[in-house]
Amino acid sequence: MAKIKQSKLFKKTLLIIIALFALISVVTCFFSGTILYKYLTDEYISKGTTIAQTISNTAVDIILNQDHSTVQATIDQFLEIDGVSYLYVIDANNEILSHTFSPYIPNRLINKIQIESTIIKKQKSTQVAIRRIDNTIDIEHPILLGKIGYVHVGMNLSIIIEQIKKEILKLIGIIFIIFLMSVYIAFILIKQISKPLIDLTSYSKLLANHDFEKPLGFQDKLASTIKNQNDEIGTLAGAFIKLELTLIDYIKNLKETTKINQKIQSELNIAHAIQMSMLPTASLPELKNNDYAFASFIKPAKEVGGDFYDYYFDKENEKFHFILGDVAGKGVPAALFMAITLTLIRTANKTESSPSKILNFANKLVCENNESTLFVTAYYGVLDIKTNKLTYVLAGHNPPYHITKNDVIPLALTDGMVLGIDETFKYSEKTIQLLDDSQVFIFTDGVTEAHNKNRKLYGEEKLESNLKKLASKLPKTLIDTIYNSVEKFAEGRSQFDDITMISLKKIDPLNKFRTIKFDLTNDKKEITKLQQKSELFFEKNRISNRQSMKYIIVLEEIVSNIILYGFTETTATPKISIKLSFKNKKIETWVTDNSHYFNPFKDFDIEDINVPLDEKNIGGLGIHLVKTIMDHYDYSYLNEKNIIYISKTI
Amino acid sequence: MEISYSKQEDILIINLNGSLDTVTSNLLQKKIGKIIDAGNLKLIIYCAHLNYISSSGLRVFLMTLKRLKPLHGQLVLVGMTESIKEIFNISGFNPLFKFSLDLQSGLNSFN
Repeated sequence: MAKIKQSKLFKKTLLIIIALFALISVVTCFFSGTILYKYLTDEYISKGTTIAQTISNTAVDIILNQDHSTVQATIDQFLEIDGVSYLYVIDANNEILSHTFSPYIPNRLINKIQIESTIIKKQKSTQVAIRRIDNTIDIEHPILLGKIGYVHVGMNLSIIIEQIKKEILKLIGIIFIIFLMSVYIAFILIKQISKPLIDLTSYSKLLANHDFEKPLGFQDKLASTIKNQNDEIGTLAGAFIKLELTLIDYIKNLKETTKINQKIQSELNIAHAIQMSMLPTASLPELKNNDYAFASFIKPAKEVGGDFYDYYFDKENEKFHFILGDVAGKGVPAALFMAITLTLIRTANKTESSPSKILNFANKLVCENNESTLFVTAYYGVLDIKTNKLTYVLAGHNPPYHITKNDVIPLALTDGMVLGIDETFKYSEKTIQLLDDSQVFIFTDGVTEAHNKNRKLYGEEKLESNLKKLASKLPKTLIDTIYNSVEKFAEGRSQFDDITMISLKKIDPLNKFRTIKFDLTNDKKEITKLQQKSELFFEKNRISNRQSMKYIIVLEEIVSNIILYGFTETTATPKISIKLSFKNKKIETWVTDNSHYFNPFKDFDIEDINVPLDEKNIGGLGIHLVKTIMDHYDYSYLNEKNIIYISKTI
Repeated sequence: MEISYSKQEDILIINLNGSLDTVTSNLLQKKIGKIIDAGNLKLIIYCAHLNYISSSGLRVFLMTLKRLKPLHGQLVLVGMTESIKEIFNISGFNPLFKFSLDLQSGLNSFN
């Protein structure tokens, strides 16, 4: 009940009813009041006129006979009639003959009648004049056409107004009763309409927070009442119930599907781990010792993919095998085929040693087991460590790049058929000589066929130009940079195909000495070690004796300064670390030590070389040499360590 | 660092072979000190085989000069390589020392 009273629908309806009734009341009262007033006034006037006429008729003789007392008696009797306020008779000279006022007629009244008031109605035939004075209507009736005088009858309007007020009050009373009845009827109607709506509203609110695991139990209540209602609300309720049931069903299905998907996903994750574990991760000390660097990278587009790589070092023959393959297709079928192919290649290279023979053998086995007619493109390369010669076979695979200092050139094709199609195919091989600082980069088409949202391909041109820029880099850096570039190009589009890259670089042995590091203690004799180590560094980097001597002098000055002045007895384990680097004709050195804060560039003033011999202070000579010989020198104190940086371009 | 001596009349020739660095310069300084104490005031330091010199080595040369000056002694540096000469130059030592290209002209420079 309270709910209905608070129902917005009811409030609105109530407001409308009130407004409507107020309007009706005002209009009704106005019209009925006006009509009643006019009607009653007319009645009054006619009544007054009749009285005045009667008096005038009777008064003619009486007045002529100068019988004033009779006149007085005549008018007195009319005073008793309802609504008659006063009467008086005047003669032709406006002399009052008789009146009903007591004790005398107020002058004000006469003045008003004669001067102030206007005639509101005048009947020409009878010469009756009607005036309105305050709440009184004055009816002036001539006696003998006014020759003798006039009769004035005053009719009291207050009575009429009282009457009208009473009538209007009655009217309002009736309207109010009708109003109350209307409200009650509206209330009953709204109660009937809004009850189901309120139920429906709370039902929909519950639905909004519903987890749809099982029915709310609300619709049973609704079903029995509202749903069967043959109107829009009933239809709406039916729709709501249907919605809930459908959603419950949907959620149930969704949960089941999700569960299944999760299971598949976790199985795929395991498959991914298994597949990745099939690929080698071993480090290759044999390669490193022979100035080679190798790196590999694989990223399947889905959990599992058809790309693979493999490598191993044949110690006996000092040969390095490195293989890359791409099974046509993606996902689980490709992954299974990849596993077969990888295993067969591994079987083949146990018995054969040349890449062509290995692929002949592997191809035959792949064909025998290939009922689904999948095929594989592959690269097989064998590097002879002794001769720096690379022998390779391309089985339908896109040509790898040979990256030299100045150029990026695709390797020549070997006209090899893809694996898994023709079991009698005989592969042929090609050989190239790997020079210092050159690199062979092998990749699958997932790199070049990566595309962005405009369906533009990454392409070989872009790959070549990037490889050119990366010619000086080591394989790992090169591959990582290419992958980042591909990823950036794809602009967040999900990877389209598996991406696999391997790269082998012949390192210039000189490059090994581009940077050296060694530590010294705070013994003066360590200067000898410093000289030997740095001499070797300069020699390996083919820096002239003249240049290296000056540089070593500077190093000695710095280190001897630290040994002589830097350390105190309290330093636990004195350590001076030296890092030498030679890049782009620039020799740089970082000398780090853990002695107390000690800035040699500040603690010694620049040697004035022009002072005479006797006054020469030789303490700052070493630092003077450092400052003069080096292009740059710098001191910093970081993490409780002194760091001296010096550099010189030769 | 090898140090050897030879004498031409009253001129003592000190022959240096190797590196003159923080470790070795102390030894040379002591030896030259003794030589001067012994009354040798005409000295030639033969530097053709001196392949390295650090500031401590330079200091030895400077100290020698400082010791000889009040005793009216003389010092001539002979046969110095261009690399070592450059270090002398950087150090501002060139105006202080007498240099000779070979031993003969070195010996002749004593009056």
